[in-house]
This record gives sequence, structure tokens and C-alpha cells, in this order.
Amino acid sequence: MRFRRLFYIVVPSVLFFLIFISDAIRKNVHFEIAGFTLIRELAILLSFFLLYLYLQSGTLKSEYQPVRALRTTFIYLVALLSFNGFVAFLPQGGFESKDLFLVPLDYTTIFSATILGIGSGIFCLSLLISLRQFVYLRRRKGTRRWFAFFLVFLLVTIVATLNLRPMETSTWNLVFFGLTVCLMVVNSFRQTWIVYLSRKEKISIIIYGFLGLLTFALFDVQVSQMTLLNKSLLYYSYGLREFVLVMGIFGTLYIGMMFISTLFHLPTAEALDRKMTEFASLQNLSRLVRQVFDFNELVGTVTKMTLEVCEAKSAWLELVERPRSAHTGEDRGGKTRNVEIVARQNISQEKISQLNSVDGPTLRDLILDQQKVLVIDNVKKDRRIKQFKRLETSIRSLLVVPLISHTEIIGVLYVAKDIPAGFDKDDVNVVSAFADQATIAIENSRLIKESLERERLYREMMVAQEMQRRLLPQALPVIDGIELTAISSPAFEVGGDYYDFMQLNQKQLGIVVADVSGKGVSAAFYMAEVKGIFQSLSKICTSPKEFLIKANDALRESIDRKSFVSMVYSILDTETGELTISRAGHCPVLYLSGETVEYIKPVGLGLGLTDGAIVEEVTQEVQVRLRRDDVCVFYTDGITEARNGDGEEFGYDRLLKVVREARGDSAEGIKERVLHDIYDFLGSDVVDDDVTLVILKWLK
Amino acid sequence: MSEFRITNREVGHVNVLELKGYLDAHTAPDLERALQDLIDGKKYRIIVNFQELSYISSAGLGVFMAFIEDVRKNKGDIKLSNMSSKVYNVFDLLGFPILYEIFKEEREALEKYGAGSKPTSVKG
Repeated sequence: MRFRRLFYIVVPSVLFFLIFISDAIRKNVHFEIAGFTLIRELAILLSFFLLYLYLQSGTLKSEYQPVRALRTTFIYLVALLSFNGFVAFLPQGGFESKDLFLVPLDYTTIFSATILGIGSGIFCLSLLISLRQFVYLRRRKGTRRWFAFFLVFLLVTIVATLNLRPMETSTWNLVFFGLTVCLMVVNSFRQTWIVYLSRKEKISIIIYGFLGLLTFALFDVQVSQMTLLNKSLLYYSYGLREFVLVMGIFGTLYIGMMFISTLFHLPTAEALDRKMTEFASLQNLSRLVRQVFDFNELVGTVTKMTLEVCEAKSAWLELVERPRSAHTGEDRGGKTRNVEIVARQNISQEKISQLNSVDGPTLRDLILDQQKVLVIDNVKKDRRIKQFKRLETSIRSLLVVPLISHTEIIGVLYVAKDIPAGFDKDDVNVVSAFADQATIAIENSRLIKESLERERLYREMMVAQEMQRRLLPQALPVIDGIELTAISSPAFEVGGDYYDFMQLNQKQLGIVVADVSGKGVSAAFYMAEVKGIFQSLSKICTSPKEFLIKANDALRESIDRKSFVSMVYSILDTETGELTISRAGHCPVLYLSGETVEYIKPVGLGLGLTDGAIVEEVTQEVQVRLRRDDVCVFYTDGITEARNGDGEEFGYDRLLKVVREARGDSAEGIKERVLHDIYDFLGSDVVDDDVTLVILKWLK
Repeated sequence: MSEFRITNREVGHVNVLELKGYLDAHTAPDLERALQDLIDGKKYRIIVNFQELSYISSAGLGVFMAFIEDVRKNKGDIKLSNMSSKVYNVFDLLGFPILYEIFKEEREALEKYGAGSKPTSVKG
């Protein structure tokens, strides 16, 4: 490829040089070789053909910019004409007409004719390539064909000059020339691409088109009249002169048409420009709707695009929080809403506050009231906003559009111009469309944020649940002759139920079951505290009563007045089976011995309710001596107060009955029976309170 | 979900709150407000009548604990009356009878106030 391009440029250079040498020799030494003139002519035409191929291969196929191409053409032409003018002032002999031949009178003339010939030729080649690009900008059926016809007739016109002497013409030559001009006219109508230019580009086209037209006219005169340029060309090569003449006319025609059509398209250019911008912006915006992860970027783009599409001075976007409780938010005109300016373009925070600090209803109030687009043509004279009359502001017209989602205003988009009546119907429509798109994007963004937040809270709760599970015994104590089983499950992720065991010494086991009032997170915190209290106090207290008194003191200090903890604490002598029970406002212990089942309910107050003296005074201890197969059931009120669909409680009697029926079973078996009966009673396995069950069976 | 209503009745210098329906974590704030209003109005002689209360949860019990100290500091009291056996059992389980005077009939509670310290006429 590179070699071929080199070939395209080296061969013509060599040929041009040889022709120049031969021309110089011929001036003094007159020799006549048969067909020399024809060979010389063909060599020149071949050189230009190769140069055409060279220029052609260097043309970029992509992104053809009409304005730049036109400007380049214009500059080249001016350069060529300037050179022509410069040559004309050189002291030279010029040409002499002889037998319809042109004879140069000195070497300078030969030299300048050669340079002018090659220069015009190259210029016309690049012009041909440029015009072809223009014509091909918007290809339609026939575009290629008509241009090909033109090229063919151009070639024929040139070929028809081969047998002519420089100063003569033939009918054929004129006919072909005429046909070529006709085809040029056809091709000159390929101007549809002008429509799609921006207004700015169209103005450039008009300017360069006008200048181009003038220079081309000058060029045409130079080439068609008996000027130095024309004579030089005719002397150098008739075919080349024909080509230059055709291209000069083609250039004039095409650029002339270009100038005229652009001139006609100019009035609509602005409207078209705006439609194109609107279209592009809407497209961008709808793309943006999908990328809602960066909220600030989103609202920034919305305001920026609004600004561009209206060619406004400034734009800003406010988000209106949904009405909340009456305690929060600013109070303005009876509407309690929090408003946040989330994006602004070309306007300061202070200016916006200034607009909002007028006496009487603000623009936002008007919008919230009307729920529809507000167009203010003259800020100083509009009767709806009399309060703006005395405001110092450069804003003259305003467009205020509500962002409505599900009949509720979630935000307000403001667009301002510093000229009166700056917003027409198109502006209103397009900004409304923007507002709609923005609403969707903002809503989506909010939803994603909310669901992420929910997800985060859910994870936190899962962590809390796992941590609370670890606050409960990971393994039950294993003691000869005793069966122990336990279960605890919170109503929500975390709860306020607690049970634990403590090997107090070699023969004493502490058993605790507790219930913090309330449910959920607050209960869970107190539950953790109860565990701390149990672990620190149980070992230093010799009796359940003493433990409860101390636990009450500890909790009284930290727990809030509305909360309390109910607890049952027992100490079991694992050798003798002596069980000492104290109760702090908790559910009584179910005790099964032989055929008798009873609730043991020593007097006692919930922990944290009152001060130590009363607790010490009233708290009782009850002792039982366990015998073989005796069962003790400790539980929380989630068991007895489990309510079914009819609002009926599971109750003490049912618990008593199921334990009695299951007394032959192991501790584990009894637990299963109790749970089974509760779920059976509820008709589901969903209990609306924290549930804990600890069962002790004495086997000795 | 569950309905709960409070009626405030003045009998002499005593305020009687009649509770109706379900008193649980959801409705406890209503009772809290009612008691707070009485205390704000310097009315410290209070009887809570449970005649028509069908259910009380631990959160409901907590409300009484929140105010009893304030009331007693001002030489008043919160006395409870007319509990169904079910409601009484809940209070009893937690040891409330030790801390509060619970009467079978509202009349008895009123009499108790009448026999106690002289009514202090504070209004508004």
C-alpha cells in the first residue's frame, strides 16, 4: 500500500520534470517527432490520473465535516489565485500565437506555465474529491450513478481535446462539454445534508459559501478568458485546461447551490437545532433513568439538560419530602414539608433562598397548590406573584414544573431566563417531559436506597440474632441422674427471654428463666444485661432470695421505669434433690410429683419495679425434695399466653394437662409434647411472643 | 388492631379512668398520655377502673410503674379497681398487689380516698 502510494507520486513528478525539460529544449531547438505532442499530452493526463489516485487514497472515509472541507477548498483556491496574480507580475515574455499554437517567449513563461498547470490540476483534483464527498454525504438511489455519468462525460470531454490544437475548438468538444455541465447541475442538487447541520455550522457554510462563490467566479473568468492563466493552461495541456474549466464551473455551481439552500434553511435552523437537542437530551435522560445509583449525578444531569434544552439562564431542582408528623419540618402556609435543593445550575443558594423568602406564598406554594406547570412571563408584572415585585433579581421569566408521582408532588423543577416571556409552548412541553423522566428516575433511586437500607437493617438484625443466640447456653449441663432440656425462640429477630444454668459448686446447680417486659431490640439489650447480672451474682449468692434481691438492686439502677424483668431462680442440690425456688413476678413453676401436678408460686415482685427493702420483705422461698421421675417445668408467659385465632389463651390448665399426660416421657419427650400441643392449639407455629421452656426431670 | 378506650370521670376530688378493650404495647401510650395529663393538671388522686378491660400485657403494666412515684410524692395515689380475675392474675403474678391497692369495687377505692387525707382543692 505504501509502495503503491509512493508510485502514484513519484511517477507524475518524474514525468512533470521530463516534460518541463523537453519544453525548455523545444524553445530553442526546433525538432519535430511524429506524435510527440500527443505523447506529451497523454503523459500529463496519466500523471494527473495517478495523482488523483494518490489524493483519493489519502482521503479519510469517516467523519466528513462539510464546513472544514469547504473552508479548505476556499483557502486552496485563494492560494492558487494569489500565486497566479504573483506570476502575472513577473517579468516574462508571455505567449505568441502561431498556427493556433501557443509559443512561449522565454524560459520564465515555460516555468510559470508548468507550475500554474500542475497547481491548478492538483487543486481541481482535490476539489473533485471534495465535491464527491459532499454529494455522497446523503446517499440516495442514483447518487452514485449520476456522479459516475458526470465522471464519464468529463473524461470524454477531455479525450475530445486530444486532436485539438490549443487555440481551436470542435463541435464534439462543445457537445460533450455541454453534457458534462448538465450532469454537474444534476449533481449540484445533492444538498440534503445541509438540513442536518447545526445552526452554527449553517452560518459558517453561508460565510464560506459566499466567499467561495466570489473566488470561484474570479477563477472561472481567469480560466475561460484569454488571461495568462488560461493561456498557460492551454499551452501546458488542452485536456488539463478542459478539466480545470469543468471543475471551476462545477465548484461554482455546487457551492452556489450550497449557499442558496443553506440560506433558505437558516430560518428553520434554530427550530431544527432545538428539536435535535431535545431529542438527544430525552434520549440521554431515559438512559439515565436506568443508572440511578448516584443520586447527585442524576439530579445534576436533569438540571443541566433542562438548562441546555431551553437555553435558559439558570435551573434548579427541589425535592419535597412527603408530609410527616406535625412536629417536624418547617411550617409554611399550613403545609409542613421539608424541602431540599438537590441540584442547581448557574444560580447560588442565596439567590434561591431570596426567591423563597418573599412575603406571602412562594413559587413552591403555588405549585403545591395547583399541582400543575406554572409559566411566568414577567416576574415583575405577574399578578399571581405580586410579592416578587420588589425583589432584586435578574430573573425575568420563570417556568416551574412539579414532579408528580402517584398524584403526590415529590419535587419542583425551576427554570429561569433573564428575558421576559422566555418560555414558549415547546419549552413547557419538553421540560414537562423532563420532569416526568426525572420523577421516575428519582423514585427509582429512592426505592433502591430504601431497599438497600432495609437490607442493611435486616443483616444487622441477623447479626443481633446470632449474638443473642450465643448469650443462651451453648450446651446443657450434664449431671448424673438429671435430665435437662431447654428451648427459647424470640417472636421477632431478637427477644427478651433468657434462661441459663450455673454450676454453683460441686453439688449445687443454679437454674434461671427470665423475661424482660416488652419485645424486640429494647428487650434484647436488657436480656444481655440480665445475663451479666446472673453470671456475676449467682456464684456469690447462697440462696435464690438473696440473688433476687441483689439482681433487683442491679436492675433498678439501669432499667427504665416502665420496664421490668420477671424471673424465677432455683437452686438444685444435685445430690439430695432439694430444690429451692424463688420467684420475681414470673410465671409459677409447674411441679409434677407422682400423680400430683401443681404450680409453685412463692410470693415475689418483678425485678426493677421497686426498691430493695420491699423486695427483701416480701420475697419468699419454697423448697421441694425431688423424688424419682419428678418433673419441673420452667417457662415464660409466651407459653401460657399464646393466643389462637379466637383470642383464646393456651393457659395454665392446658399446660398442666399436657405435662401430666406426658409424665412417663423423658424431659425431651415432654418438651416435644408441650410444643406440639401449643402449635396444635394455635393452628400454626407462629407465636406472637418470645417463648422459653426449660424442663428438669429427676431420675434418682 | 385491638381497640382501647379511656374515659376520664371526676368524682369529687378523685379522677377515675375507665379502661376498655385491650391494653398492650400498641395502646399503652394512650394510657400514658391520659395519666400524664392528670399529673400535669395536678390531679394526683387517681382510680383506674378495669371493669371493661379484657386484656393487659406486660407493656400495659409498665405504664403504672412510670407514674406511681410522682403521684405518691405528691401525696396522691393510683388505686386499681374492678379487675376481672384474668386481669387480676396478671397483676398478681408480677406482685402488683404488694405495690398497689387493688379493690373489688370502685366505691371502695373512693371511700379509701375519702377516709384518707383531706381533699386539696386544686383546680385548672
